[in-house]
Amino acid sequence: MTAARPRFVRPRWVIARAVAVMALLGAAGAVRAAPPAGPPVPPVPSNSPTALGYSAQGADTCLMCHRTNAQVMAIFRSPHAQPHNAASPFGPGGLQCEACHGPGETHVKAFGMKPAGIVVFGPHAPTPVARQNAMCLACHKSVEHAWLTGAHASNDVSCADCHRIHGATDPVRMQATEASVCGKCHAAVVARFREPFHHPVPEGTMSCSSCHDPHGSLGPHMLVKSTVNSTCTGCHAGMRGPFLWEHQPVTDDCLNCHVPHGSGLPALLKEPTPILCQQCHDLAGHPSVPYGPQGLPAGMPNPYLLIGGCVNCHSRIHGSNSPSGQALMR
Amino acid sequence: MSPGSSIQRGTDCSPARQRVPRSRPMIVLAVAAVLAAPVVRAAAPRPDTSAWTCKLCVFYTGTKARVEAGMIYANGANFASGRYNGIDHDGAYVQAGAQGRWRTRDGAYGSFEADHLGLASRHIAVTAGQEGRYEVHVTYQGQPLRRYDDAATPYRSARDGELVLPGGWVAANATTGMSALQADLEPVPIESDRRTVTLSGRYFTSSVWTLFGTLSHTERTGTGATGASFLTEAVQLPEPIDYQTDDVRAGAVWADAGASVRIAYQGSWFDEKLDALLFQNPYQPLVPGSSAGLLSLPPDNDLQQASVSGEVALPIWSGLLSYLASVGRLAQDGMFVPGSTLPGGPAPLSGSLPGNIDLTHYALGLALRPLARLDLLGRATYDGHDDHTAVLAIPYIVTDTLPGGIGVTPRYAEDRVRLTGSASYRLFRWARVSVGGKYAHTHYGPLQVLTSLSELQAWGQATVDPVGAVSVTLKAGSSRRDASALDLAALPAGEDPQLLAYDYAPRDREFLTVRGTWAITTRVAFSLQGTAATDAYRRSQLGLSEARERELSATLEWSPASPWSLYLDSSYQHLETGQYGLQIPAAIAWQAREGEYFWTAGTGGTWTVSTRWHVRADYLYAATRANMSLESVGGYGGFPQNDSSLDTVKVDASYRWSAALSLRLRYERANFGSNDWALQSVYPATVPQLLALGVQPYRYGMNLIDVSFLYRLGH
Repeated sequence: MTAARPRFVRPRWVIARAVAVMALLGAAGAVRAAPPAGPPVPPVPSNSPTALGYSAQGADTCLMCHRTNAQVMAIFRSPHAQPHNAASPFGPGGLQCEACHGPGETHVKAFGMKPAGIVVFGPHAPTPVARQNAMCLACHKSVEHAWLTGAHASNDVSCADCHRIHGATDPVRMQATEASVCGKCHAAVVARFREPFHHPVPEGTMSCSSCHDPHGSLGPHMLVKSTVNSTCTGCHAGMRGPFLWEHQPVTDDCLNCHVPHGSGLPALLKEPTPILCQQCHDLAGHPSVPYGPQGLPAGMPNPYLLIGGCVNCHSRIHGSNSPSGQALMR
Repeated sequence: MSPGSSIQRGTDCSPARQRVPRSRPMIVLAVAAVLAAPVVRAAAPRPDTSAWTCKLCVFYTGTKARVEAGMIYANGANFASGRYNGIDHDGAYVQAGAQGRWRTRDGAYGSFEADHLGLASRHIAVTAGQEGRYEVHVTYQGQPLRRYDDAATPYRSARDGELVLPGGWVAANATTGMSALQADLEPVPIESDRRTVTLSGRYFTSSVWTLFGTLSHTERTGTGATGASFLTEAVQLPEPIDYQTDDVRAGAVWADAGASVRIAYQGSWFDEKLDALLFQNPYQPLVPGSSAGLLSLPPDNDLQQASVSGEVALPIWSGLLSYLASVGRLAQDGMFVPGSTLPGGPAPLSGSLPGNIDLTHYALGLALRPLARLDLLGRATYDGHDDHTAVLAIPYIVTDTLPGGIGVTPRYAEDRVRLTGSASYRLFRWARVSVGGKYAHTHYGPLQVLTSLSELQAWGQATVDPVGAVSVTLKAGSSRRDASALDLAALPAGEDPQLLAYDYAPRDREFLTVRGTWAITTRVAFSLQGTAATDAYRRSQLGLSEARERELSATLEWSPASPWSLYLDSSYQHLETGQYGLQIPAAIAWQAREGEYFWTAGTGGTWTVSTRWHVRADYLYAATRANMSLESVGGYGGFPQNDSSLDTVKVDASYRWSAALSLRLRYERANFGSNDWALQSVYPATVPQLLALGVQPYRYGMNLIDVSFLYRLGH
């Protein structure tokens, strides 16, 4: 016996064809591309008073004043200061400090007294967030970062809100410290990780970016993969099946039964069993029976209620590969 | 317009706006993209940098490293306290770690990082590369999972995949009659360790082309807890865990100012060492021959996916279009395990299950700025889950006890389409308003109760930051979800036709979120976040009827003087659900209510006492409370309250002995207590029809002292 083919909804082909067109055009651009001579020149606002020019001697001009600032000089310990890398601001032909901070001629002429178009980074910087980010995105064009269509971009998050540019290390790129950077804004999620059962993010053996792409993704919840299930089964690969006997809510969405960040219940369940299972199962017989507190050890201990409830018997809840796994009990 | 800037949409460098006809959007997009390529290719004016010698630049070369070595001593530790970090028993642990980096004058560089080397949660990361040419990473991550150290079982592991009862075992029809049980119980730690090694690299073939690849190997071994039954008599089993997963990802990226393409392949192979777990029946067999059970374990599977994704900058409205197309297949071909150990049962199925699921994802994202103050975002995604596995009619045995008839294996398929869009307009420099919406449609394949589900959501958002130090965002919206009619033919026999599950029931949702930050002074900052959501399941006669969620969190940060910084944070969360049930065939209606509360309060800070002493201290209190009650004409009532509380004090002090040597002292005190009626006082023989492992709710009071030395090398 063979299953009938599922009926596909029409929008699938609209999206698929559009994607194909864009991919081909992108590929065509790749084939025709000539290697650029040096790193990109970042955009300069046409209405800026600095629509003028760059400094006379690049970083040497800037460092005449700023070299005593340890935070500024820390850039030379960072990945941005790679003198042999043509894509680096400090590489051959690079615009050095002005690659990120913009043309500095006016600033120099004002003896540094006025920012004069200099791009200043950070959460409370006078430079608009969009302008700050444009400087970063001029070089960081990687396609995996769909920044502009992501939630962070549309909520005015700047790159420098999360990243430390002037430094040997960037806390948000280190597994042990990444979550503390994300937690500066996502306080409610941090709180969830303090619940008794959670993914081991506070312990540092996982990080937020194990599941989420902070630079934006085309999947839901800015996940690193296209769906919730494909993200979860990236680690929990034994649950992805296909099983001989499937459990429909499992193939549909892991979040039908689990919460991702933290829960007061084992296995990050949304609700305790058997109540959780009874939200769907109302089969004549024991699934429809309300198991009340009379089934606790002080009364008549009930195997349908205690420990795992339903999964004491239906333990193959994610799917069974036994020919006798029809009720997910083998 | 500055050529090449299309992708950097945030700039104000678009002097002219162009209009695009609304008809035939696909043709317009295609033409626009074709035009974009030559446009973006033209380089922006490049300043003459020939005199930029960078004489004052101090490029780092050499080696710098920090080595940490010491000892951790734990008192009062158990599996609950060391659940994720491996500090799971009293005693001493080696504390070791290192960090370092090096760079040569010719552009070779590297770094390494090693943490918790003496613990099961150890992490090692090594990076090496050549500037502008390649970069290679090797990482190791240990992930312990310590679940229960108070479990006890009469089962012994005879060999891989087989659990036997000791000689002299007295089977009975209830745990209370198993007279040898107490004597035969042996402790069994329910714990596992996941270890992952990853090798990844990038090779920069040119300024626009990058090749990348990742190899990853994960293995997990240990013992889990599972359950099984012989009809109505259940038993908890120590389940062996022994599997590995290998992942390969490889591809190429082309990225230039106007477009980018990423082509990638991913393969993932899951390999479970055992196919099934054979275990003896501890009860008197309900039928002759029902003396053992056979529990299947997850089958080996593999996933192959290919994808192309990228971006195309549009020459109009500073537009950017993102795209993704991914096709893949998830497959298993595991040999059938025997359906039962029951003598005289149906003949075992021969061969294997050629299971195949096609996974398809298409996505398009569009960002436009038609006006300097107006941003438009749109996204369309399609996810297809198409199960090609043959539907089989199989004779099955119920829990190795009774013939169950013929079962037809269900195959599930879904197609999801999501359309999202938003418009954001900056009214003033300090105020922005946004509106948006989402439409999601899921079509379920054959043999599913529901044929389709649609959800429409609309929201509005306002952000004001009247002065640079204050920012407030308010977002409110509502959504309506509707399910199609049920396919009664797909209902299993006896299933109530009104079955409407939580995530499939028609639902109205209203939600409100608020987020505010206030930098009161340069030294004091306050932030507040809140969420309220209410769900009404307007047509549910069974299953969830309502749900409410409230969340509030606040943080105050204060840096009163340069050597000090303090913080205070707190959060509150309340979830509440209501649910209807109907006991069949007696037709007794019942109602359940479940409420969960969770709150935290924390404070702490750092104090740089002197150039030598630095101290950090944190205190955290977190508590949960859950109430559940059942109501019916027959009574029932409330369950005992489940709760937990955690309070921790951490003090971390470092003393700089010399430029190279530091001493680190860390003290942690953690108290955790919990009550859980599902586990409380449930010992192996407590439930007559459930031979339990006897684990109890988590409790611990732990003191931890960490003394270690840090030695710095290099400059």
